[in-house]
Amino acid sequence: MTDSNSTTSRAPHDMSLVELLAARRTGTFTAEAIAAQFLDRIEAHDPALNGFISVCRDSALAQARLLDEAAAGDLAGLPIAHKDIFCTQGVRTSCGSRMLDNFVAPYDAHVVERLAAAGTVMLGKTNMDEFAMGSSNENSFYGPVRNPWNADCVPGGSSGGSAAAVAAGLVPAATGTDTGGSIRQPAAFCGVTGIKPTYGRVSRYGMIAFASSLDQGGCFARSAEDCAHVLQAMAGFDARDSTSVERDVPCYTDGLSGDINGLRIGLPREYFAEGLEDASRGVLDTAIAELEALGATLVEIDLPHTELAVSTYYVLAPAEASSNLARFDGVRYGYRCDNPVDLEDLYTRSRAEGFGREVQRRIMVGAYVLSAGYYDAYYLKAQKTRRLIADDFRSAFDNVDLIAAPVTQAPAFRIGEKADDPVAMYLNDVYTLPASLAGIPGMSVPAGFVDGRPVGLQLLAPWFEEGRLLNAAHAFQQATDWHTQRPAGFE
Amino acid sequence: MLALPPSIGTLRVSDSRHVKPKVKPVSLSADQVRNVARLARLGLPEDQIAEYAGELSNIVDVFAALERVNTEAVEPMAHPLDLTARLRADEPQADNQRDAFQAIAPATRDGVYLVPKVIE
Repeated sequence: MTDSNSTTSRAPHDMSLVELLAARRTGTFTAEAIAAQFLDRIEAHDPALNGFISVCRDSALAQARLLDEAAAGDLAGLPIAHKDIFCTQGVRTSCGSRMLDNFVAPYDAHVVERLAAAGTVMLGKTNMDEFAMGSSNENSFYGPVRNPWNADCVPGGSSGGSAAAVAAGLVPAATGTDTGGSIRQPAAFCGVTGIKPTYGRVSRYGMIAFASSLDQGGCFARSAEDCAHVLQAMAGFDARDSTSVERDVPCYTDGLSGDINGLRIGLPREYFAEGLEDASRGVLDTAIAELEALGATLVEIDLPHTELAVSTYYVLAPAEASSNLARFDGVRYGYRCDNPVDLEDLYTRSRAEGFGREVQRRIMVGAYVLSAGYYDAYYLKAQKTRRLIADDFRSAFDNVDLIAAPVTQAPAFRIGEKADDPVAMYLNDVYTLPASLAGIPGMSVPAGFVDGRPVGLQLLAPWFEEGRLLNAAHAFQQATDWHTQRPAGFE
Repeated sequence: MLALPPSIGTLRVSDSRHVKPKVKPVSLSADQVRNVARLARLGLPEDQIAEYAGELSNIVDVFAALERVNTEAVEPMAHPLDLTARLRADEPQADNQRDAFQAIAPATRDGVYLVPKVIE
């Protein structure tokens, strides 16, 4: 950590979130100057990355000027970008889809409201896989996002734009959503810190629904400490989300003691088995040894139903998606086909033209597993195997405080490499899906590199133990500097 | 540091819940694809049906792994925290926002949404 004196000679994008807030408070920078410098970086660098769908220069600068007149909120003057799945009043909210290319949201998502109330300045909306369906950001109507560490590689998905923007220093923090790994996997591929909270911790109000029993909002930043500040502002009960949990939010920042002495960390055998590439495993072994050196006790554990996660998830998520996406009918908002001949034609053609291929595949898989004759064999069965997967974690956490695991089998793959093979893309999610199905919180923490591409360490905690997770990640980041590294060309 | 286990082959379900595998590849026919597309109100061009049939079959084949597990005594899990939806009093919550909502609609007139004629 740098003391505040040295912030005078550094640009805002070189500062941690805490340093940036201090620099504004002490007058080193105005909120407007901070916003302008990040907006300039977006203008200079984003054409090569395609991380943003919309940039809100004028409204951001106006909002920053208001904060300079009367600063309010714990995050006053902090620039932020929202994944384009969060509704933003008066700003296009596309969800990465042609279907919503013309959709200017009439209200703010709870997360957007909360972060605005905390004083953040929204710089824009980030690119994503269409309706959050994807692990590579190649399924966006607005084109793929490029990985700042290697422009030939994907940034991960579905929150690929948010992860890439934070990695490239275009914004200090960004929101994301995680249904099956859509925060943790892009965080790993882009070398940033990302947290998916417990299901129900962050309100889904105004977050465009994909799979409602799995969707959870979270955030990206460079460090766990920065994430703690952002999550603090996002988390909490909201009566407008029927699955929002009425439970006090602890002070995540106060919990960052950096002490993990005596913490019991489980290493699931199933995650370190075949499939995990040797080079990534080497990076993770070193990271896990670091946790041990910090005083943690390592314990081998079993999560025996891990292999069922892919099939369970790819039944349940499409089933919920086919139901959620029924609302896009070309009648009330969004895309409508030209010259419909009748109502049926209006529905079927608006949806066929408005949705991309992966979304249509998932809607059809969902319709199939929910259709007469298949409901019990697939949907109900998957709800049962989901419980087996969740029970694995429940048993494991009787004996350990945290779990450490890989996020992915290998670092970021090349754009186009898996684009024609949906099943290969799905199998890639094997290490992130189980925690989503169980609803437990998880993080990806930068842990090293393989051939210049970042590797993430996944940390998982019991339900509502985000504080424990953030503190363990913070302890790791006090002892390592992977999270402070910057891709070439984005210094 | 604790030695991690060496590679132990492919992931396996390693408990007694195993029942005899009865895995059969599921292939979706062109008619089944037309049927789910109809149920989902997706107007697929006829020349894409075969391609979708192949892709959907590959995806559905992955689900065969579920059949290998005995779940007789397992309750379906619909919610990760096993909570039921919270109810609230049935009271008006917000002002009428019809104008704001209709401002983004493809076609409206006099406060109603317009669609092609459904009754001759």
